[in-house]
Amino acid sequence: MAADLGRSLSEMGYEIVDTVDTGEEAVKQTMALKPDLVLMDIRLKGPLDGIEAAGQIRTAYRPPPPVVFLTSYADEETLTRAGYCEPFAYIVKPYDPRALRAAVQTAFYRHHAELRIRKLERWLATTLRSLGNGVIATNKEGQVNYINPAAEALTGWTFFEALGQPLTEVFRLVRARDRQPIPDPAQRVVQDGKTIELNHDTLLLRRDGQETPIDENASPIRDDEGRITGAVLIFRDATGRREHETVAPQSD
Amino acid sequence: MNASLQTRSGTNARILVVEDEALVAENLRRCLNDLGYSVAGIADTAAEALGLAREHKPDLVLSDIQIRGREDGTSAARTLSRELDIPVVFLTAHADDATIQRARLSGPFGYVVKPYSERDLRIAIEVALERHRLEQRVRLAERLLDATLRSIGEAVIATDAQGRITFMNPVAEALTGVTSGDAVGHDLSAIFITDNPDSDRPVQNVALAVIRSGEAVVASRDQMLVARDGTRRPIDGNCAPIRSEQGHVVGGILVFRDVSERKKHELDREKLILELQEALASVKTLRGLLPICAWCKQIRDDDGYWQGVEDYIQAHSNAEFTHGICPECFAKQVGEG
Repeated sequence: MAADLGRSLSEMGYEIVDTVDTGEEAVKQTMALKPDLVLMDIRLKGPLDGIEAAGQIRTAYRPPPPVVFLTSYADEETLTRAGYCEPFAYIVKPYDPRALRAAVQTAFYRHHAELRIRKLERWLATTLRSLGNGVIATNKEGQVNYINPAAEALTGWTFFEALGQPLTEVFRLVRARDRQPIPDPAQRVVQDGKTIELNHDTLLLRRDGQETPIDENASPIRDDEGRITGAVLIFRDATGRREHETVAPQSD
Repeated sequence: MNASLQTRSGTNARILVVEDEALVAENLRRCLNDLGYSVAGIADTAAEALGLAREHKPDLVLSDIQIRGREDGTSAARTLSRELDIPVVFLTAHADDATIQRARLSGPFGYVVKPYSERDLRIAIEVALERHRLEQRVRLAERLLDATLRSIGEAVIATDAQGRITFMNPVAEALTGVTSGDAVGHDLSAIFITDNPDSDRPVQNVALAVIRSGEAVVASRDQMLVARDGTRRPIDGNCAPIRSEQGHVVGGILVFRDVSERKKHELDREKLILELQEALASVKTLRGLLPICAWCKQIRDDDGYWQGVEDYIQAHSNAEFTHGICPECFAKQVGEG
């Protein structure tokens, strides 16, 4: 069976880096040889079956190579389990070489499509994380769905604590002059669809009670069709600037 | 045994069939119904497939690669996946390299090779639905971050490790006067041009500076951004290195904003303060030493002229005089008279 598959794949122009017959070997050799794709029979010798081996590969290896499962009529109930290993394709035994070709091609294609999106996502996440100003994004209901490290430091809330919380909990603003709370800027921009700026007289109350004067800008987030899906706040510590302003006029 | 897979997918998926051979199409419909799927429609041309897909928004399209008409199954599939985000599974009798290469460009989620069994069909559909769900999840996360970065109300420009622009949001486009399409790939210093009135250093690439030092910088006050059309605006902002999860510096990120409004406020404020100080200065003279004539009680002003007490005080304060008589003078005047 394995030799037969190997021959078919070689004829299609693929290189077979190794053929193993236990789940443990499959995990080990995947780590060692870093293949572009793993063709895995669900039934294997030894304690690990193909699904468990695929699961281990998926958690141990970033990004994991795509796995194509070989399955027979006897594996019916295991298919449910295989679903959780995010396979890219199945080949049913006895296999048809045409189906093998199609399955392997699909797996490669989808794997690359997914990697492309993941790469983009990672780049965006890295960029937002590195941004020097505090950034918080909310959904339309005003719940936090993103907060970057600069914003974590200024608010005293960590990403996981802040996630799903109402913005007014995480980002508490008062007017310095009379300490009146400032209404939720996210709700306002979601309703009006316009950017607002708070540059004067705004204090951010950190979770531990510390107060920071800030400059803030809140804008609606729009999707590709222009619909408002939430709000994004960008803010910075304005301590330096406010001091400068209060010092300047005293030069008599 | 079907039940387990249907529970996994959690839905009674709706499938659009694209097949121009009536017998095959009917057989597919029966098979799909047996497997617990509902058939959203049967199309026999690419154009009809797109029409039905737009109307019914099926969860998946099962399409023969070869169908009659001007367009074959692959071109319809391309539109289905790109525009409508519906996964496509191809049915084919010829899974040769040429066919698959052609079909590949339309991004299918699977193939079913004819002659097919119910089981082949079900596995291909379930894997396709599952993969599509997973891809959507990743794409959703990507879109959320992308929309966030784009929507930020201040100007954002990102560069790669060489200081070349990789991203620019609409606010940055507006302030620099250059579209993202024109800016991407260019050195930051060609687009983000600042000049500092206090120095005549040549324009430099701020991102490269932070990439080299690894330290964020805050833009000095009074920086002017020169837009492509020559407009000059005062800005403030900062630039930070972009660090990968492993901590390597992979680029730079610049955030800035137009502070013209704030500058104007500051100038207005300074003007107001000056005016107040001047007003205050004239009032202040009343507090200093006033030269007053011991006999006639006239006061000498700063210009050397002698003025009456009333005139002097009225000119140097907001006080007004009302005229009356004090009890002592009253007694003196009335007593003598």
